[in-house]
Amino acid sequence: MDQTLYPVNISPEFLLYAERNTLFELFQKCISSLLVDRPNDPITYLIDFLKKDADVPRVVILGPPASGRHTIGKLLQKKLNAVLIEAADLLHNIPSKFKDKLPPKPTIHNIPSTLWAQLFEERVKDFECVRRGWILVDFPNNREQALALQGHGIAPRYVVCLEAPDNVLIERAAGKRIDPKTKDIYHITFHVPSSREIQDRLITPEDNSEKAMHLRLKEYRRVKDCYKPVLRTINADQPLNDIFTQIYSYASKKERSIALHTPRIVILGPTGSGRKTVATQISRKYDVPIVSIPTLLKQQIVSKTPLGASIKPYLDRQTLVPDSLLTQIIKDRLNQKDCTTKGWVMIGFPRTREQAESLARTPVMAPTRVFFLDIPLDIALERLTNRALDPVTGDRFHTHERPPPTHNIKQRLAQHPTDDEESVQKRYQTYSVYYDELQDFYSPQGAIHVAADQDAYTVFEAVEAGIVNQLHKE
Amino acid sequence: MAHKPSAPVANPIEQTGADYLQTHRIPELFHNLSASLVYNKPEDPKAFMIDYLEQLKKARITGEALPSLVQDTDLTSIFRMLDPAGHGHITYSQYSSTMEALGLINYNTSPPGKDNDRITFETFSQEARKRLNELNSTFSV
Repeated sequence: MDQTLYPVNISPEFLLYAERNTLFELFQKCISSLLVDRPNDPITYLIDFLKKDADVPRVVILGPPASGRHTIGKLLQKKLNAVLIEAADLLHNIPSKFKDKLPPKPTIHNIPSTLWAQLFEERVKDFECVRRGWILVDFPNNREQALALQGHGIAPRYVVCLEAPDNVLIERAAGKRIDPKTKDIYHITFHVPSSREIQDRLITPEDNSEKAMHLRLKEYRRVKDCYKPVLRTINADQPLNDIFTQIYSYASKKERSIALHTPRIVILGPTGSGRKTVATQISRKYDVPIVSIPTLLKQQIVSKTPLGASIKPYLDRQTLVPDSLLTQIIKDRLNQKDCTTKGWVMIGFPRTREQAESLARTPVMAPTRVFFLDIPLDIALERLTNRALDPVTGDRFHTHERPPPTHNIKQRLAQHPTDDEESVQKRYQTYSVYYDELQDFYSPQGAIHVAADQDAYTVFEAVEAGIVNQLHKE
Repeated sequence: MAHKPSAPVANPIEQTGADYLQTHRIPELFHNLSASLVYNKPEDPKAFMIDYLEQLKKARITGEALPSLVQDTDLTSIFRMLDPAGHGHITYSQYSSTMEALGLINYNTSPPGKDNDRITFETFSQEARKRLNELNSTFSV
């Protein structure tokens, strides 16, 4: 259908449905698999693909010699329950169809890269690997091998590069010991085995002389370019546990979705915390409409609608407007086209736990990010009681932050009627009363607290970081 | 007069990828799949997609029952709406705007009956069904 003739109206429900079921990623995986494998019968291929599609880890661990790759590989394997593939093992279990392609005395170094890639491809397509995921250690060692792997469609999701200064590595290599029975790796200083029995068994691995190390280090550096987008460099000069936790959290993270993402942001905070300022900055930078509930209410009053008439008394008395009046107004606004397509930044709502719950209940209205701008009462007071407006030019001033430049301007400055100390305190109290329940409700969903007593730019940076990064749900 | 540089040559690997997709009508397949998903919004999209693909696979062999959002009963209802008096035929402009509204691009613009501006129900449903089948058989035979 030609879109210019019949503008396609995809309902917001579908966008949410697609987001919730990660349809975008699913389609992307299907099509990229199709392009890699180019099956002759894509329909059967897709059916099989969908049946076994799972989010398994696909990790490659690289590092110069003595950086701890095999150690980490083993730890990861236990934790993620994926299949550990080490180049040396592959050598010992070569399937028969490749045997005649091998050079007479095959070692890790003299097998051509294309053959390696084929061996790995064979291994990786094995049922266990497809089901549990795989961890490749110490391959590829050079750029040729890396390109060969890519050519065969083996694309790791994460590539971890352990880095450490050369002298640290050489020192480590000197102290490395292997337990011949279990093949576990130990070190005379950093990782001593627990029992005396194991200690006695340890042997020194060959090929760790200083000269050999230098050579291997040089080769290794070139591989990194091939995997730039999925690469993560980790400092190997740290205690083993630290390294491991970093890698584990990185490898078990879900891929950052590049699906179209409509931000639905709620900014909470007491009066004077700068919600409107932050909301305006977000709106300007990301082209997201601001939904300010107080403004919506005032619009109703000004347009003299019957709804506005019922709201007026509450605003006059500075008490909360009941939910029954609010819900319809908010729903209507959020269902308007600009909000459904671009998302929204909401200020002034929810104020209570019930309101938060009702917001969460309607799928189109559930927020994706919630921010608490925290600020102590005295700073809020300071900000609000000292600000004033110049009624002639519309400029805003603050006696401390931005004092009026001339005496004339200072004379005519007017303060907003609700910016006096008593009103500010009353509004701040209203917020505090409900703060705990809002905190309880939103914390488990990953609400982010930002210290709002800093300058506008710093606060905005913190909020932006919260929007862009993934949520940490408790 | 400077001679205009030609369009950048696509990367040969990219080109064969695009060719592959075109030959097997993958874009149309996903288009139809998405339309079905938007309409049905199943609880388990993966299972739904597998079902759809299996139906498509069977239809490829038997030549019938292609998955389609527009069924024959829908065509009957549509015709009844266009011809409420029950004359048994519609005008050509009704025919063409309906075909466009159904999204059947490249439909037959000269069906029998065009000359006297009377498109019968049989003609309408035949043309619609023919075009629908073409659009829905997203596989290279």
